[in-house]
Amino acid sequence: MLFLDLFVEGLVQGSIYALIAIGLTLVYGLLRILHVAHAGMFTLGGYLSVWATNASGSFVLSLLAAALAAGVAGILVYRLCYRPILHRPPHVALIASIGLYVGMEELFRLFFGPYGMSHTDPPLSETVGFFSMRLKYAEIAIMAGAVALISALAVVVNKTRLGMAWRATVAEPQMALSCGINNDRIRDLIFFIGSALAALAGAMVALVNNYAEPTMGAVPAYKALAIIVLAGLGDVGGTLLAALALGVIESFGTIYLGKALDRDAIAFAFMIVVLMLRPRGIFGKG
Amino acid sequence: MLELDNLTAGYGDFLAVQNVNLRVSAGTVYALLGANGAGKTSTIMTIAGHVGVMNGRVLLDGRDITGLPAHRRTQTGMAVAPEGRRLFADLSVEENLILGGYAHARGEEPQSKQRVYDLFPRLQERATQRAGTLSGGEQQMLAIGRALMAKPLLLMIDELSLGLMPKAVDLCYEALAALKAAGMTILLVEQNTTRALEVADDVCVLESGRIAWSGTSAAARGDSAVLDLCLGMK
Repeated sequence: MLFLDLFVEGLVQGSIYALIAIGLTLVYGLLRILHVAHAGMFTLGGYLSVWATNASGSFVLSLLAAALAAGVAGILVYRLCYRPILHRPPHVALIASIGLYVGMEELFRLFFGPYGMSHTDPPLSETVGFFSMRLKYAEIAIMAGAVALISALAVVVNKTRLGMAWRATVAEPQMALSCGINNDRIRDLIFFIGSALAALAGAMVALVNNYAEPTMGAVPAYKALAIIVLAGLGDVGGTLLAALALGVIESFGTIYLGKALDRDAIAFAFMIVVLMLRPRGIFGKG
Repeated sequence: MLELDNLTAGYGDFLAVQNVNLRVSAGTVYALLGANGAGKTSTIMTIAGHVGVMNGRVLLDGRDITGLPAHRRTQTGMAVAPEGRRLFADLSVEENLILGGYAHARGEEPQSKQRVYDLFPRLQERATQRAGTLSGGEQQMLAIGRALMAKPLLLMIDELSLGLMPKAVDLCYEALAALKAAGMTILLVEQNTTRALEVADDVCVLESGRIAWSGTSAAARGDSAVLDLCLGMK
C-alpha cells in the first residue's frame, strides 16, 4: 500500500513541521517579529536530546532536558536580543534574528564538533506492523507526541485564564496591561513554550535520522516560514493544518514529482501557488 | 482620592498634558471636558500609566504612583473604560470580564461577575458571544463591566456616549448614577457637555493640554465660556 505509506510518512513529517511552526507563528502573533533564530532552538533540541540520551540512557529524560533547556534559552533570546529593540522597526529584529541564527550554528559547531552526533544506541528503533506497513516506534511516538502537545497547547490557550491573558495581550496589549496582565511575563511564556516545542521537534528529527548536526535547522526553518505565511501569519489552527498538508504533499511529491522538483522545492512551489490564489494565506481573512 | 500635581506628560517631544493640577474627591464624579485634541484622553491614559510622565506627580489616595508600571496600577484601585472601548474583540463577553478581574483571586470572580450582570443584564444574555460582535452600546457596557471587575475605587470612563444610540446612552448614564450612589469615584471624559454637567460634581475644561477652566458643575452651567471652550470657540 504505497498510498498509505506515503500518507503516514507525510503526517509524521507534517507533525514535525507543525511543532516548529507553532512557536514561530506564536511569536509573530505577539510581537510581529519573524523569529528566524527559532530554528536554532530546533537544532539545540536535537543535540541536547542525543547528548542526554547517550549520557543518561533515558530518552524520556533527554526530551525533558531538551525542552526545558531550549525553553529557558528562548526566554533569554527574548530578553537579551528582542526586548531591547522592540520599539525599532520590524526589520531590525529580523536582522538581529538572522544574525543570532548564524551565530547559534557556529556555537553548535564549536561545542559539539563539525560532524554531528548520533545515538550510540538509538531508542525506539524497533518496527511494528500496522496494516500492511512497517512503522518505527519512533514514528508512532512522533505523531502521538505532536498530537498530545498540540492538544495540550490548545487547552491552555482556550480554557485557562493564562490562555485568555495571552490572547488578550495579542489583541490589545495596552488594555491587557490595564487589566493587570504583565505583557513581559506573557512574552517569556510564549518564547518558553515555542522554543520547547521546537526543541522537541529537533529531538524527534535527531531520533528518526539518528543524527544531529549544526545546520539541521536550516531547511525546517525556511519551511516553517513558508508554513506560517501559507496559514496566514499568527493563525495557530491554520498553521497546524498547513504543516500537515505540506508534509503530506511533500511525501507524495517526492514520488510523483521527484524527477522534476526536489523535495525541498515543493514547499516553495506550493507556497507560490497558494499566495497567487490567496495572498493572505489559505485561512487568512479577506 | 486622585490628585494630579503639576502633571506634564506626552509622547516623545509632544507634550499632550501640561502642568495640570486637579483633585478628585472620593465618591464624586469629575468631568474632564474640552474640544478634540485638548488632552482629555492623554490625561486618562497618563493616570493609567500608558503615557510617559515628564514632570509632576500622580497621587492615588495619597500614594505617589507616578512611576508605577501600568500592569500594577489596577491593584492600586483604578480601572479604565478607554476611548473606543478597546475590548478583546475575539474573546467572549465572559472572557473579557474574567480578564478585567485578572489581578484578583479567582475565587472572587463569580461574585464580581454577578455584580456586573446585575448592572447590565444584557451582558449576561450575551455572555458567550464574541465581544467584537456586540452593538456599540453593549460594547460600552462591557468596557465598563470589564473595568468594574477590577473592583476599582476610581473608575475612569473615556467618551461614554460617543457613537452610541440615545437609548444606550441613557442606559450607561443610569449605570453611572447607580455606581455613584454606591460610592464609586468616577473620572469622566465626555463630548456631550450637557450630559456630563448633569452628572458631574466638579468639572475642568482642557485646552491644548492645559487647564483652561475648573470649578463645580453648577458654576460651569452658568458660565458660557465653558461651552465655548468645549466647542473650541474661544
